Amino acid sequence: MSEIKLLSSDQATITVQKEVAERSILIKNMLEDVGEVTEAIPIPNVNESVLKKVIEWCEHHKGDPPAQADDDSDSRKKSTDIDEWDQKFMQVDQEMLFEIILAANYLDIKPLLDVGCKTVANMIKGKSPDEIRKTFNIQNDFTPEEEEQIRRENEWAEE
Amino acid sequence: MSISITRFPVELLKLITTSLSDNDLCNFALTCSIFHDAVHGDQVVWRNRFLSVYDDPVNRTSYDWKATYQKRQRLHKKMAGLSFRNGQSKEELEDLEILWDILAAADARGNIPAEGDPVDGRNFSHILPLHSERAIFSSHSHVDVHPLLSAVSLMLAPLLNRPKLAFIKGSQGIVYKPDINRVINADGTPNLSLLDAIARLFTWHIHPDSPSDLFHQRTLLTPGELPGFWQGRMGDEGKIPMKWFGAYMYSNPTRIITYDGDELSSDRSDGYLVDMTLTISQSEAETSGTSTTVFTGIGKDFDTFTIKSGEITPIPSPPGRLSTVSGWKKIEFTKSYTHHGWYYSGIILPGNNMILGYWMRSKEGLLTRGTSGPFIFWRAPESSSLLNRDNRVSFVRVTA
Repeated sequence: MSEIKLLSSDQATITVQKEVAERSILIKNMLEDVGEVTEAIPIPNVNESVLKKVIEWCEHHKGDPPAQADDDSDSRKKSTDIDEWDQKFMQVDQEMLFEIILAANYLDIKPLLDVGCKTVANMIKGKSPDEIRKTFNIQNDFTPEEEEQIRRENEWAEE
Repeated sequence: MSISITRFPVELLKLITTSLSDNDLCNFALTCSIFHDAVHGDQVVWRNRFLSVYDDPVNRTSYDWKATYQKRQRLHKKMAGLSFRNGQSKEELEDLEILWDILAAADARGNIPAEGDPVDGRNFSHILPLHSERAIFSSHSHVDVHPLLSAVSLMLAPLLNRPKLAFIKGSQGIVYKPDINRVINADGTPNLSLLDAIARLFTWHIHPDSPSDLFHQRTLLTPGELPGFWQGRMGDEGKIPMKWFGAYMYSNPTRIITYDGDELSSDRSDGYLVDMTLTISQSEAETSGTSTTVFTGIGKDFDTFTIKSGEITPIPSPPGRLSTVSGWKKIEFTKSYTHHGWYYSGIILPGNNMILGYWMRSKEGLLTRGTSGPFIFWRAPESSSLLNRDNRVSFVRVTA
């Protein structure tokens, strides 16, 4: 089993099975381009703790069938179910959750990105705009007139 | 350093919205301007939502995914309680335009909705709640009906797989009116209210459970052999099916069924279903700009017959919203027995799933009582035959 080394943004070197690292399409393509590498591959956008967390996910999912490449029927599936292990995995503070999502986006790990976005969506579901603002610590930057205008735009979906 | 979700790349915000309900999406957009712009800044969010629940539109070019999605979802919520008086009011017309667009793009697999068996397809799954007693079929009055309502009702006739007498209310009066009925209007477009009335009347008439006096041969029809929807899309340039089942009646305005009281009389028919197989012998013969398809055929009802002088000619679509679907065709042929024949003139619906019209003594002949009447043919599975089942053959009169 061949191994490779990754270098996090905070200069930590992490050794990982090639097969696991290749859950990242970014790393997979990189390895295909350069062939054999002995030095650590720099991952400048991801720090050690996040990278370890991402690798933990990749380890668990290394046996998963490869994701369908933007298949039309696949992207139409609107499942909000999250696998039990993934749910537990995503029980982290908001900061870490966002870091994982951004890392998954950067490293191009589509299934992890989906799980992360679904987790965020679940934090939004059933909440009022004000509750959503509280959840994510967001400022309401609308004027009362703008807010009224958007409420009118939203009438189509009212129950 | 702490990360805020508002600093996410806009693509990620859009990805997050794909798991939100319509209501949650609206609240999300109301949170702050960054979320609002992610949702409303372009059509991406709307296109994804649209395609997750509806069939592709007929023409994607400069399609307004957002406006169409919102309109459809609003209609979807009230679908089960929908009813139409005559389609003339502004509100009814708006709903009908949306319904027509859903139907025009509905990708059907040509299956027939048996009881409890949902129609395949995304758009059909939205139309399915119409399959109720309060649906458009039972409510409209046939008086001053808007063509859009007639067209929607006509196209949805295969949903009438359970006979409800009220669904034929008023249709007999239209269908049996002698002499004035023409399936093609003066401007060459199909007469939608008449076609709708014929479709409704026959869907009831041929149903195994209806009390019509059609021979019990109809009780042997399997759900898959009843009139069904088009295959693919309604307006697709499809082949004319070879295999058809049919039925006909004698025009008789004095024998209109009373359905409100107990006096449920029977309807006039010849007693046998028709089994017809066409042979398209010449296609697209270009004659002065119009392409006419020529065909012959064979068949059997109470006796064997041949189809002669068959011609299929495209006709213009009705104007306005209905012009979005082409494929209406006129069909004429002579159904010829050994010693006599009948002239058939009708319309093939855009989905090639039904032919509706009138038969009469001759091409020049008027629609007169006793020697004319309405008919229906509907696409039958190619492997089906009314002839080759023993219990059906027993009905067929043997000619020496």
